[in-house]
Amino acid sequence: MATALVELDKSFKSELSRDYGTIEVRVVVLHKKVEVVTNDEDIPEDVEPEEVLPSETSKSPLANYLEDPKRGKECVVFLVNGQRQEAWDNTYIQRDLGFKYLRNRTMIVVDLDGLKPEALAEIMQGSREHFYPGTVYHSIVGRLSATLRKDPDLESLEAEAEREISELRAGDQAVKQALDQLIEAHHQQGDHLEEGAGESGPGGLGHGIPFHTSQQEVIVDPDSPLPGKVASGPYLISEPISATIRLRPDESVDISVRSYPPRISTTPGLISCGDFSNDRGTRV
Amino acid sequence: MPIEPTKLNSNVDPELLLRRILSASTSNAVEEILATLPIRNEQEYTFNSDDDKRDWKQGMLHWFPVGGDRGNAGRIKLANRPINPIAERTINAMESLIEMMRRLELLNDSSAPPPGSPREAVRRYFRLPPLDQLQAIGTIDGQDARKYAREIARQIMVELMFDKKAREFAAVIRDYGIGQAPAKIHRTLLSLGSSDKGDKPYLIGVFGQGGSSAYAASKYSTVVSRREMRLLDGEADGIGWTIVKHIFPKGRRDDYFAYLASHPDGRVPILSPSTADAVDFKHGTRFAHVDYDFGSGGAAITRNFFQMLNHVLFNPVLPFDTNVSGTVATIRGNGYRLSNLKTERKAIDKRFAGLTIDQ
Repeated sequence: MATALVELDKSFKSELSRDYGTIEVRVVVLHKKVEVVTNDEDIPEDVEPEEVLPSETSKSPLANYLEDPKRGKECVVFLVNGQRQEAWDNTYIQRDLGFKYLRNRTMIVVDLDGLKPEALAEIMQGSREHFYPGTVYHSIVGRLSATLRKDPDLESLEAEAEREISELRAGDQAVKQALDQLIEAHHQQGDHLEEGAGESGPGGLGHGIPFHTSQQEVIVDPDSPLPGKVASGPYLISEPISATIRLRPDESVDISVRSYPPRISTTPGLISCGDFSNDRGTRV
Repeated sequence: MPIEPTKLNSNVDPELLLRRILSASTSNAVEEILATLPIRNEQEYTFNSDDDKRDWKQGMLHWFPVGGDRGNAGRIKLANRPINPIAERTINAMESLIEMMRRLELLNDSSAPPPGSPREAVRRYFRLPPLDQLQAIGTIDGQDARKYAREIARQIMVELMFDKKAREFAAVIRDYGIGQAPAKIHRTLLSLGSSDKGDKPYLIGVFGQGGSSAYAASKYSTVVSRREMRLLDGEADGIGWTIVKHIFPKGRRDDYFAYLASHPDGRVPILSPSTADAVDFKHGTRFAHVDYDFGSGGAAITRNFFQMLNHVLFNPVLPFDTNVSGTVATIRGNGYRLSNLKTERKAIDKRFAGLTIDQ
């Protein structure tokens, strides 16, 4: 079971135009987090064998206060004698009031008991489900929107929610960058799973990496003699090393190639595939 | 020759019959009751408002159109959500409690002015504020307001039953309110649009037919009512009962809803006060809507029932109890539930601040 916390709970009365009477509005904004209390609830008796019951963890703060959170987000309700006679979903909160970041946790309750009997008679329908969209209705909607749109408390909560979302996005970006760095570093170290290991490729080249049969090839390895061949140079070094290069469509890759020992300064730049002539070179 | 109201055969045990009616929660159970009763075939009797005795057969019960109107389907099929008829019935139950208190008040003081609104009536007769203010008020007559409201709620019970074998729901709304004299049930509980609430500002409904939409949502409905003994207004005591169902006349397209009547004027069958006492039915009304159609619904109905009622009766004038497959809970509406939430450290609490916004 989930219990919500409330951030704002305010009520006010408002006089309608044309002497239609008054409406009372209550706005409740819940905290975006809910306290989840797990209970051993019985499985409902009418549950169908294949039916998936709603998950408590997936519920929004308002979920427990809506008729059917899966179908209708009827978070704007109009009451006559406490009975819901009309309900709107949260697009009103987002589009008409402009509180995008509060839309999933705001309940607006409009009590119409203060309407004059004639005004009430005009909007009530026999079906008791929707109001007649005439002048009284539009007077109610206009007053409601005008009052709530500039409500300082709601504006303040909206700004706060927006700021939190921005911080969250900034945090997300930082995490993404860190992950990118980690992945890149992983690629850089891709040949370090085993000393001297090469990348496996279509021809089964490489050493110590699964998926292909190991095949010996003479390569130059200045740091470790296994399994490459120790050489004092000169030879070419690519960065990143060829085993870790990933070529993807429509993506450029910077590869620098320099000689060892560096007789002259090399300038990093893009190279095209080429033959570095002998078995001691690095293949790209 | 005047037609006498149909009396049940001497081989029908009235107490057993009443018990069976009160316990019937599946269409099978209702059909078993119907099989024991002398009922005219629905295709052989057609109600005629110009001559209500035409085709009537003495000694039998007849399927009589609800509201005395063969064209009643359009006024009954008004529910566009399964929960709404149950909410309407619950509202009717609240009204029956308020009306009982008002009538008892008039017995003591015939000049007592009527309450100006349902909320005022509830405050006067039950000392309850709007339920979303229960939390703020804290106590009523020295009692915890929440517990006090729970005691009041016991006078209305909304029960949802599910029969696993039949895979059928039954929605039962029982109130311990004023009830109806059995001879008047056809002109009150089974009427359509002939409300006497218009001059009673303390009642809620206006159209006088909202609860009838429950007939369309169920295969059968049983209706049982008994008037509060002090408020019989000269009518005979007793308990009236009937069963409502959907009739599809052969070869016609004008389906309608009808109930079992014992007389061409629409009166329902009546059992004696002693029979009512034997099953402990003192006063009030009970509607049971059997094989209630909730549609596919998605999530399990029994799980969502509490939540649905709290939303459609968002801030009801009176609290009431629900019993969903044996689990009893009091409903005070979402208005109360939202007021009962814990506040955040930085919460802006301006509840009922009396702030008035001018144009």
